[in-house]
Amino acid sequence: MSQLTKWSPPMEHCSAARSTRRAWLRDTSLVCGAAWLTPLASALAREAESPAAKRSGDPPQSVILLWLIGGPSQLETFDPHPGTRIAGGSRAIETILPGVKVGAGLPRVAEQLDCAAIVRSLNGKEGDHNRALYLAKTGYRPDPVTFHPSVGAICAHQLPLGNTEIPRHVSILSGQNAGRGGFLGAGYDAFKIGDPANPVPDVESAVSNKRLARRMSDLEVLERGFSAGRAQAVEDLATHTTVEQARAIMSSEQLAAFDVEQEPAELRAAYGDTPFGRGCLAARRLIEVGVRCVEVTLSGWDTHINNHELHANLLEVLDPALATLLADLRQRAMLERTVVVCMGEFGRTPKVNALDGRDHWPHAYSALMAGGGLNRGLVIGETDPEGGREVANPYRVADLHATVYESLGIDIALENLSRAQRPIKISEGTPIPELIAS
Amino acid sequence: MWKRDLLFWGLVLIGIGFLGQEFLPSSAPDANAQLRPARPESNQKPVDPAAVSQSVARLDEILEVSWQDAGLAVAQPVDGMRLARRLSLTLAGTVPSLEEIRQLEAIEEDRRLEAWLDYLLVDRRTADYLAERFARAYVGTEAGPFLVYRRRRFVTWLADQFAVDRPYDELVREMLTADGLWTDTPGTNFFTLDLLPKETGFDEPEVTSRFARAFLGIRMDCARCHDHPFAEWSQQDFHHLAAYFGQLQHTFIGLNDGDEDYTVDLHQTGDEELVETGVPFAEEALPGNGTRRAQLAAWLTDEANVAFPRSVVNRIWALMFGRPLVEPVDDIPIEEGVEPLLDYLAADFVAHDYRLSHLIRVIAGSRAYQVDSRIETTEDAEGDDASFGDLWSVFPVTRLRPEQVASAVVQASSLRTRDYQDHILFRIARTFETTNFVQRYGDAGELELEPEAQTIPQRLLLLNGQLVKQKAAVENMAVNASARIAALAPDDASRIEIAFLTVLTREPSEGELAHFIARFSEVEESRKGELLEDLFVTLFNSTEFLCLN
Repeated sequence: MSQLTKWSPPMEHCSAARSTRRAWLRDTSLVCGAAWLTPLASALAREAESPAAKRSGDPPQSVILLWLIGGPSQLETFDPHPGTRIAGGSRAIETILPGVKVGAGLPRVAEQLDCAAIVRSLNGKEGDHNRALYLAKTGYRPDPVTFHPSVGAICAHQLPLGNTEIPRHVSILSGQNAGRGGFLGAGYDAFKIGDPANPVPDVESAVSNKRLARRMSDLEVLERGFSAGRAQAVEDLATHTTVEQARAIMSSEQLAAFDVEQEPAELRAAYGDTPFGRGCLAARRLIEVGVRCVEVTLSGWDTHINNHELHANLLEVLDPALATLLADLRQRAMLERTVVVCMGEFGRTPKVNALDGRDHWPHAYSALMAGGGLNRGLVIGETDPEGGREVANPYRVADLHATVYESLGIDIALENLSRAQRPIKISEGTPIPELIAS
Repeated sequence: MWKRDLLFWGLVLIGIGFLGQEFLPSSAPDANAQLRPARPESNQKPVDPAAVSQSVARLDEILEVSWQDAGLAVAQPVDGMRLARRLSLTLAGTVPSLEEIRQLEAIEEDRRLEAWLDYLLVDRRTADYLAERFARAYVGTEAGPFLVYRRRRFVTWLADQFAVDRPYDELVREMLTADGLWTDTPGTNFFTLDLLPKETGFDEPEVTSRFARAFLGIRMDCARCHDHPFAEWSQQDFHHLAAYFGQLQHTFIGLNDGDEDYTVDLHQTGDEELVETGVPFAEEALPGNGTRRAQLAAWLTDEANVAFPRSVVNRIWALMFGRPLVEPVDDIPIEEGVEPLLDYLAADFVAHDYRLSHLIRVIAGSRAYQVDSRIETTEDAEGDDASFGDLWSVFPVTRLRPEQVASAVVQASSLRTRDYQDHILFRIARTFETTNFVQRYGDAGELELEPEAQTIPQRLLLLNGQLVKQKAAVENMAVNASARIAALAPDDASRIEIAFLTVLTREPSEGELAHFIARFSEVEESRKGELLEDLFVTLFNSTEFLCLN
């Protein structure tokens, strides 16, 4: 092992520079960092979001998707029915919106609801995790012969390139569930990372620049030989362009956007000292450099057993992260240019089962949407306090997708060709009128 | 206390055995060693070389006529080593080891293809690899319903069938008519994947869609909900076919057939209508009796049903060439003459008892499989090098799938063959490494045979990722090829040659050898290891390594 360190001298000058920068940020944050959380700052931020400011701003450019995988219970999150039989003893709290309540585990989100909207009447028709997640991520029900692109792939495909050097579709903590390019091609698959506390995988060369340059020039010798007589075929494989693009990413300053340690300690603490909290903070940093879609996953909501306790634990992670993300985006006047969606693949049964759990419930569940010029401070749809399947003002998952695209200025009627040359619309939903009406 | 001592010494002995196994044998492979797989399946029916040559000759005729008619230039044949690499990658999902290359070199050039096919077709790696590919076509990659569906059990059973070269019609009949529990009759997993939760019923339309794609090579999915103006299949066709699965039931004795009628709400009126069984074509092949599933299986595997052999020929061709005869692999027009190669191979497959080994040998023996992927384009030739591939006069260059890249990196980083002879700890480690790599590289699941270009995260993974870094590292004397070559090879030229052979299954060209010898001569002896490590990473990143060619 000693030899390995000898061969790959860590770039001391880089790390030194970074630590100075960190120190500077840390020091300045002591002075300024705390100020942004004050009521005054919040008031100023709200002022900046007035309709006039909203109209004059740049068009929305990015999406942050917070996936609550496993299927969160609407009753313990965004659609409580306190005091009813279906609440199963769960409490609810008042929010900044008069008459609107959320689950008791979301006190900080409750304070931010004036910049968000809750849709309580989603109907998904898919009760299996994988199928429902496919629907949530693509807006289409699974189809064995068409592999639909996820929201992030469509954003990366449709929205302008800008000056972004790093991957424009990023998935944090999603494991095998990361957004896929579908028929748009694997080139639109999300770039996957884990907890932002760890280094970004695969972007740092294990060897010195000198050795890397040597490898690259040797590779050219091999590639020249192989391409002769196969030029077109090799071009179709794109293996040469990916070398260039990968190297551009490896040397990009924008990689620093993944590094949440560069944020003030107070802010990091506000997001929560959890992988999901750091993921949300990284998401904000990434869209600042022009990443089109960042998805962050919080798993563990599949509470067939012991629903209330498990939800309480997860909400302790979700509440600070989501609330701080909204406040942070607001404070930086970025919320109007960013659509934030927080949802799971389905909800959970109103009936509490014999093991104190709740089972899958795709008939009526909730999503939170904010930013991107969407109307805010409202609740859409209403579920039955008795736990019936019927809801007032129901919307499909596809409608939610159509709303996101509409706010980003992506034409939902536009058709892309599937692999079987079938034209497929960006979304087959209809934008939710309450969210987009001016 | 003595038990703990015994355990301790036992572990020490296992450890010593494990190290010895890795260090001692075959650092210089024995050229006289027999080419024999680690876990051969001996109870295969012997092949008839004359039958294979006859079929190959006819296939070559069809190919040559089409080339002449189109006035196409035909690429040169590739040498035996490149052919062995193609076969290993497409049948066993990995590259030949140096050990295997040395054994192959000891065989006369004109016998190499046959010897290599004999070797690969009885190797358990091949059965396992093909079983996973076919399983993706049959049941996809989903985890499926809890308890009642066991994908791994299903794949292992399939591999067992492939390993003994079970006639494909027999295998499929057994799967489609399987009764009983999903554990002791693994074929039933084909159906239990679509067992609906909390009811005893099955999702018949879903089973029907999968059945049509996997065994008929037709996509009826659109006909499920409506009549499409241009599609060959009507909604009626779909539901009549679905009716064959309408009596499936799942009880405490597992899967079996009930006797209820199959009803569907065809016009979405809320009224269930009775739907009779019926097949969309080749009605004459339908037997008069038997359970519904038995009737369907008999119809499917009847010689009059051309769709069945075509579906498997197109899939095997896709696996061996990286591209199917008719695209997409599971949507083949039903009329004759769309693709003469497909029609011929399908008929030949039926005439030779639906044996996959025969089909594979015929395809491998054909000129199309043996031509180079490179062609010198002249000015009077039309089109570019890629367009020549349409008639298979040039071998198509297609990207390797993630599991092939992972296995190839693991194999190429070792001089010995990585197979079932490996120590259990190595096998476990290998599973972890490759699974992790495949996840990051991006697995396309059941749609894995669709064309795809390389992505940036894939390149980053190859340049900087864990697997490549670990497998190229010269510190790891215990396993890595780079380390052994650095330590054991006598001079720079042989270091470079062995590295090329191990990773690309070929010697370096003169230009390449000169370039790397110059590179190696720049540094003193103690730093050669570093260069060898660089050479391995570079070779792993080369397009030649990353594609089938």
